[in-house]
This record gives sequence, structure tokens and C-alpha cells, in this order.
Amino acid sequence: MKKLWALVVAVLLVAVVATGCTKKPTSTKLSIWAFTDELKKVVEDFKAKNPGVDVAFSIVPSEEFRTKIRPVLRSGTGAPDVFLGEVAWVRDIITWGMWMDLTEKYPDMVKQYEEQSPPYVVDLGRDSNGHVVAMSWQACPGGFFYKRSVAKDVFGTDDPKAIGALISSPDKFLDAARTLKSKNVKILTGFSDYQWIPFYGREQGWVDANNNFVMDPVALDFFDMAKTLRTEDLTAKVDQWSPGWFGNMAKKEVFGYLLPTWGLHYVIKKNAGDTAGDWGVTRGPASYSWGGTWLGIYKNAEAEDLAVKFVEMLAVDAEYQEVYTREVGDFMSNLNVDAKMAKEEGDPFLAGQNHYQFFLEEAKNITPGLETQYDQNINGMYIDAIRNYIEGKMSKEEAVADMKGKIKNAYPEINVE
Amino acid sequence: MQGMNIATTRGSKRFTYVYIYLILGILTLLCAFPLYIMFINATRSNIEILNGISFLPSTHAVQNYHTMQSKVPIWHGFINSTLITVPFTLLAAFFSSLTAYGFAMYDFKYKKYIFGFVLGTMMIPMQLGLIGYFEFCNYFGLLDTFFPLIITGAINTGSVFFIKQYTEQSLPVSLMEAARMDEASELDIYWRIALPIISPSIATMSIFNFVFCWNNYMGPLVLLFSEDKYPLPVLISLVRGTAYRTDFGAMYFTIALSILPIIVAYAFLSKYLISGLTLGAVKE
Amino acid sequence: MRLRNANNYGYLFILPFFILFFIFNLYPIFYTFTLSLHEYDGMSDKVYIGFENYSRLLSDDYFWKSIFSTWRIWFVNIIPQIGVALWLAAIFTFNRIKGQAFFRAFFYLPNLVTMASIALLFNVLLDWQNGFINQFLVILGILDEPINWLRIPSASQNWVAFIQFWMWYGQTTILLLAGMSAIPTSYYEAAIADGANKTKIFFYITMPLLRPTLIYITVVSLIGGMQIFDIPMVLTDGAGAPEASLQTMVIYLYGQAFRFNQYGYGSAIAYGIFVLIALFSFIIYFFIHKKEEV
Repeated sequence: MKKLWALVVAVLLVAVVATGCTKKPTSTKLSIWAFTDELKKVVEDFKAKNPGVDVAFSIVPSEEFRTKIRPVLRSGTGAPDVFLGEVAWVRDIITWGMWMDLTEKYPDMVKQYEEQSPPYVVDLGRDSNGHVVAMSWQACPGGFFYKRSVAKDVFGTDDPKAIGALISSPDKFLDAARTLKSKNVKILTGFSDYQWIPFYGREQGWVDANNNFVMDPVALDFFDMAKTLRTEDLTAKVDQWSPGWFGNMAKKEVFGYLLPTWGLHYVIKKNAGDTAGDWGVTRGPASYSWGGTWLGIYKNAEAEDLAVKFVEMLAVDAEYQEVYTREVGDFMSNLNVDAKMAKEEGDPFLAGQNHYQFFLEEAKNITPGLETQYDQNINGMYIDAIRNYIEGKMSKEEAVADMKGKIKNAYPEINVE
Repeated sequence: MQGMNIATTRGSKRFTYVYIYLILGILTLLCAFPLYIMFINATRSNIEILNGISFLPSTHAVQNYHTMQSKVPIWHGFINSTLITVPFTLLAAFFSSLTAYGFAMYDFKYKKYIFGFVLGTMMIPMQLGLIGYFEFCNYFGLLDTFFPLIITGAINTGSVFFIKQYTEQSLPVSLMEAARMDEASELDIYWRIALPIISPSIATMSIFNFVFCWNNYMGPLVLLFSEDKYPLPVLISLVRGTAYRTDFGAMYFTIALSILPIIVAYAFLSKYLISGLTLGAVKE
Repeated sequence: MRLRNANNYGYLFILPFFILFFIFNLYPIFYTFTLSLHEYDGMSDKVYIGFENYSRLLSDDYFWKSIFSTWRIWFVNIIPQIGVALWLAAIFTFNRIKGQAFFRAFFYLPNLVTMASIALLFNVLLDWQNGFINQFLVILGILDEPINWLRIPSASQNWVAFIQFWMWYGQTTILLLAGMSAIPTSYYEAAIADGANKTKIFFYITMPLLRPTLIYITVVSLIGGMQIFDIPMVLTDGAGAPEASLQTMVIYLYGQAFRFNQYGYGSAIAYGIFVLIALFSFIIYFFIHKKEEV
């Protein structure tokens, strides 16, 4: 009989042990929450630089990230020392007040960071007092990546300047798309690739200082442009981030992709197949920025010293940033590093074009202050509204009204007129 | 075997049978077709799939496997699923049989009400307490561990109900009384005498509990955070998300791999499952 | 008594279960109710607001829409499901079908496969430009050009219903077969003696006697159908796209609580769903009892 109760206890214990042997941070252990595997390499480098330090690196999917981290930060149990924020929701995380005020605690590091990084990148990591709470190791201006051989066939030239001139405004972009279509090539895989251009063409983000919802005329114009792209069949009608979108990178039926810095090494190079070496990059109808990841330190971090070391290495340290970009090809937040890279030889993948040169120029043209804490969800609702319009389910007015209704439901605090 | 008296083929025309088999054939096709296409496309490259359909396999299975490997830690998913499902099933078998035995073989006060209460809670949808459970786990630091997923195995009312019915039908009280004469303790009686007799019902229930836990999606979706702890269903649902959705071939391969073990296991266990299914329903 | 009175040992046997049951099941359920009386975003402190969440629930168009979507998906699936299963069960009962066991086992198979996998499979099969279903229908000439199924609300709901049908008709067939085989053969013999044909036998003997089984299947399916989550969640964006047509009640609960961090409101939705399911079940339950008395 005793044996039996022992069995009950044993079964329970097995369950506990099977589950419990995962965490427990100590002072020699840094814990990081990320939403991509991008930083795995950095973590390895950090461990090599700091022998004896262990790093617990958890990946929580981007869509779930905020949902999952909120309760942990609130209760404090199992909270990471360092956690990341993506541009679409970094502003939201900042409003929680869970990141350490770096300007106050580490002014020297912040000062150096402010001096060497593009102001719009720094601003995105500031809280309402203007203090830096999160820093980024990258800047993400965008461009239009295109296939040179297709450009030659259709436009008679593959020169980035010449191609850039052909698509320098939305109307010219549509004209170029029509020319391409007459040769059975689609200018983009899908209309939503274009969204970042109107986003950064706006004068005001989704919500103004008084919490009023703002539908900028530029954002409204994109409804019509998307409709033209759809009705004249100018795109391949494939969504971003779908297998078809990736697959078309290796095929000549699609001319180009509007992608930022990381799009080159993280997306195009991995999927280009035989088209490697056939690519060029130029400015689209406007300068824009897309993406970017910020690092912040939990305000009650157990391993604060290690956390600061880690953030400093990745976001501030010029020496490490250079090592990193040589390996990965990312465009760094330290513009001095980028300037150094811009003087070197170009990338064979881009037929010798130097993308650091191109992006250095673009980084200067980004309008700051357009990002809001609601971007992730409202961007999605916006694209959804455009879909409803171009698929003929709703008129433009109905689609916008529908979008406003959804915003009201999700964010009662926003004034939607 | 059933109702054969009227299964008279004498008068019925051959035509009816052709017609019946035709429909059966269509249903079989309907059942198998999505799975067949899945296995075919798991061997084709992304570009091949973009270019059109095929009913014959191609040669890119290995390549798809490697693409999948670089994106989805599916073996981790298998391991996690096993680490959750096996203890869950064992807990369910143990606690359900213990409780069912208690209900079936003893005549204590208020038994009717207590059992009625258990029955009543069977109707409660699993989501009712989910948010409270989530907060509860957060308070005790149990989020992102397997514990809250496993422990619910111990409170599986469906199994209690099923095993109780079986125990009442198959375990004679006289056996217990004989054992009591021999001064056996109550737990000994349960362990040595009752368990072997009611084990078929426990086994049947265990198969269903295993399947249920293996396929559970919402629980781990809410209670687990880190990707390296995700069981298969959550991992599979991730593949829909942006970062993983790069290659149709690899996606088909991932899905196929997640389904294959179930099909293989089913080939062996289908008899038990189907008979268990009807056992549960007939008494209703 | 010559033996010890063992009956109180019963408490000992059921005690461990009940301890765990109270901690891990009942307490969370009560706690959820407490939460439903608060405004709570998972970050700042809870604010007691009485039944405000419930009044918001009653006037929440999205919630009503989710009830409707859930019902529509269930309804579109249950009719053909029971229809096909009845036909199969009748065929298997009244005719000698070769390979009957195989068919039965085969039709039941989809029921065991992980729903998340099935939903993802249909997600890729239904892809607009590159999905198998569109490519195949275009080749067959049934479609002129691909349909973007998962952007059309009614089509998406129908596809979910189809997947539900596909997963469940095998199990329903097995349950109906069991129900049919429980009908004493003497009933049939008498009917045959009276010269009734198979169709008549089916409608006048089998169907009425099968009623409890049919109602049981319907109630269980309804309770499950009202909680549908996995398939619509994984089939599209996880938020009920297109146009909230796949936002079933539980997906709405999940979204409000775990996506928009409205834990208090989410708890109120959970109780709303519970009340609805209880209501629907009781209606059918009383319906059974009434009929049985007759």
C-alpha cells in the first residue's frame, strides 16, 4: 500500500522534473528573448568574448512575442535580462516602461550611440521623456532590388540610376509596370510589397499626439494605386512572405522586390538561386525604411552587467559591428562602420554594386517620427482594407470605415472620428 | 455481421452494387486525396510546385528535409510532444482508474451527488477556465513549463466515467470480499486484483488520451513561450507564419512528417480505437 | 459484520483526484469568473468594474458575429456529415459490402490526424496562385482562373465546414453503425414478413429506433462545434480572416485575451460561451427526455 502512494508521488515527481530542469538564471548567466534566430551568432561571439558566461537564448515567435512577455515581465519570474523589440511594436513595448532608462544609467554609452547612429533609429528607442531605453545595431533603409538581365531586355539598360529614374514616382512606377507587362514580366510579386513607400511618404503616423486616428492622404492614394496594379494585372498576385513570393526571386517573371537592407542578405540571397549576380538596387518612388530590431534591458535585470555588455557590444562597439557586417552583410547603426564598408569593393551578388553606398544615402532621407505603438496591428488592418477594396468587396469609403471600426474595437483609447 | 437477415442479395440488382461501390470509391478518394497530394508535393521543389501540379513524386525530398531542418526544429517538436504526452497518459491512466474504482466498488455517502458533479463538469468547455489557469500558472512560475499541460492528465473526467462503467460490469464484488477475508488491504485489492481485470478499459482510454494530448493545440499555444519547448501542433502552426513560409515543398514535407507517425500507428491500433469508440457510445 | 466496513475507503480512492481537480480545474474556473469582473491588461493592476464586461459583451457586434460564424460552420458541416454517415451505415448494415472493415477504418483516419497539421495542409492546398486545388480545377476546366478562397468569407467558412466534415463523418458512421446493430433483428424479420422493402424498413424501423444515437451524436458534435478553434485558427491568419468570418467564439476569446491583452473581457467571453453551450445542450437534452416519455 505504501508502495502505491510512493508511486503516485513518483509519477508527480517525474512530471515536475521533466518540466522543471530548464531555467534558473544565476549571475553568470545572461538570458535573452528574441523573435528570430539572427542573434544566435552574436550570442556565440559574446560567449567567446566572455568565457564562463552562459547565455539562455529563447526564441518566441514575433506574432506572439508581446503577448508572451507581458505576464513574465509583470510577475518577474523567468523574465529575461535582455529582450528585443521589432520596429512595428517597439513603440508599444516602450510604453510599458519595462526597459531600463539607459540615458540615465549609462550616459556615456548612450552618448556614443547617439553620435554615430542615424537620428531616426535613435529616436525610435526613446521613451516619452526623450531618454534612450532601447538601441539598435542596424538601420534599415530600403530600396528597389531588381534583376539586371530583365532590365536590359525590357528597358535596354541595367544601370541603377537609369532604372531609378524610370520608377521615381508612383505614376512612373505604374508606367514601368505596364512596359514590363507588355513583355510578360510583373514588376512586383504583390501590391503589398509597395506599402512601405506610402507609409514613409506620410506626414503623420497612424495616431497623432492627441491620440486621434489619422488617415493620411498618401495612405489613401495607395488604395487607388493598388487597384490599378490589380485591375491591370501588373503584379504576380502573390502575397509577401509566401512560398510563391520567395520562389519568384529565382524566376525571371518578376522584375523586382522593394526590400530594405536586411532583405538583401536575409531574403534575396537565400532564395535567388541562379539569379545570383544578376541583381541591382536603386531607389524606388520614395525613400523608406522597413523593419529593424531594438535591444533593451529589463529594468529589474538580474544580470544587468552582462546585459549592458551585450547591448554595448552589438549596438555601440564599432569593432564588433564591423566583424558582424563582414560576416552577415547587415547595414549597421554605426554609420562610421557603414562609411568604411562603402569605400570597399562592391558585392558580386549585385554585379559589383556597393549597397553600403546606396543605403548611406537613403538613411539620410527617412522621415522620423512616423512610427506608433499601434503599427503592427493597424498596418495589417490597412492592408486588409486595401484588399477588400481591390477585390471589389467594398468601396474605398466602406473599406476605410470598416478599418476604423476594427481599430475602435481593438483600441478603445484611440479617437476615431 | 450485422443485420444479415435482410442483407439479401437475391433480388437486388447488380446495378445497385456498382453504384454503391462507386460512391464508396469516391469517398475513399476524397479521404485519401489530400493526404496523397501532401506526400507527392513533399518530394517536389518549390519551383516545381509553383510551375504546376503533378501526381507523381519528384526527387527533392531530401532537399525539402534540409530546408525544413533549417527552419523548423521538428524533431524537437516530436521530443516535446512525447515528453508531454507520455506522462499525461500515465497520469490519466493511474488517477482515472483509481478514482473510477473508488466510485464503482464502494458505497460511500453522497456518492451519487459527487459522481453527478463529476459528470456535470464534463460538459464544461475546456476554455472556460483557461484565462484563470494562465494567471494561476503565471503566479506560480509554471508558465513555459510542461507541468501545467501534464497535470491535467490526472483530472480526466471522461476516463473516470468510462473506466467506472467498465469496472462495474466486469469486476465482481465477491472477488473483493474474498480478498478482504485474506486480510488484503484495500489498495492491495485494487492493485493486485482489480487492475488486471479492468486494464483493457484503461488501455483503450489511454489510446484516446494519448491522441488527445498529442493533438492538443490551444493549451500549449497559451501556456508555452519558447519555440524550443513547443510540441508538434504549435510548431506546425508556426509554419504558417512569415518566417517559416518560404518553400512549399518544405512545408508539405513538414506537414507530411508530422502526420506520418499517426498514420503508421493507426495501421496497428485501428481495431482498438474503433471498438473503444463504440463502447463509449452504446451505453448512452 | 465479519469484514471491516470498507465503504469509507472509497473517499480515499477518489480524494487525490478531487484535490487536483479543485486546484487545477475548479479554482481556475472560479478565478476566471473573478477576472471577468475586472478590467485587467496583464500589466497594470486589476480594476473592479462589476458586470461591465458582460454588458459590453451583449452589445459587442464582433461577439454576435462570432456566434453566427461558429453556428454557420457547424451547421454546414453537420448536415452532410450525418447524411453521408447515415447512408454509409445503412449500406454497411443492409448489404454485404466487401472490405467493409477497411472502409470504416479508412474513413475514420482523418479524425486522428493533428488538426493543426490538417489546417496547414489545406492552407497550402488552397493557396491562391500556387495551391493544388486551384491549379487542379483550372486544368480540369472547372475554373477559368484561380479563386482566392481564403479571402472570401463564405468560401472560407465552407472550407472549414468541409474539413470538419472530412474529419468527422467516419466517426459518425461508426457510431451510427453501432446504433443500428443494436436494433434487434426480430424487428426487421417481422417487417420482411410483411413484405416491406429496404427503403421502407430504413425509414420506418431503423430511423425511429436510431433517434437516441442521432441525438447523442448531434449534441456531442454541437458542443465540440461551438468550441471550434484549431482549424480556423491555423487555416488563415489566426485572427479570423477574411473579414472575421473565421473568427469563431473561441478564436475571439483567444484574440481578446491573449492578443489584445484584455484578460478581463476575455474571461467574460469565456463565460458567455459557456452559457451559450449550456443553453443549447439543455434545449436538446429536454427534447430527448420529452420524446422518450412518449
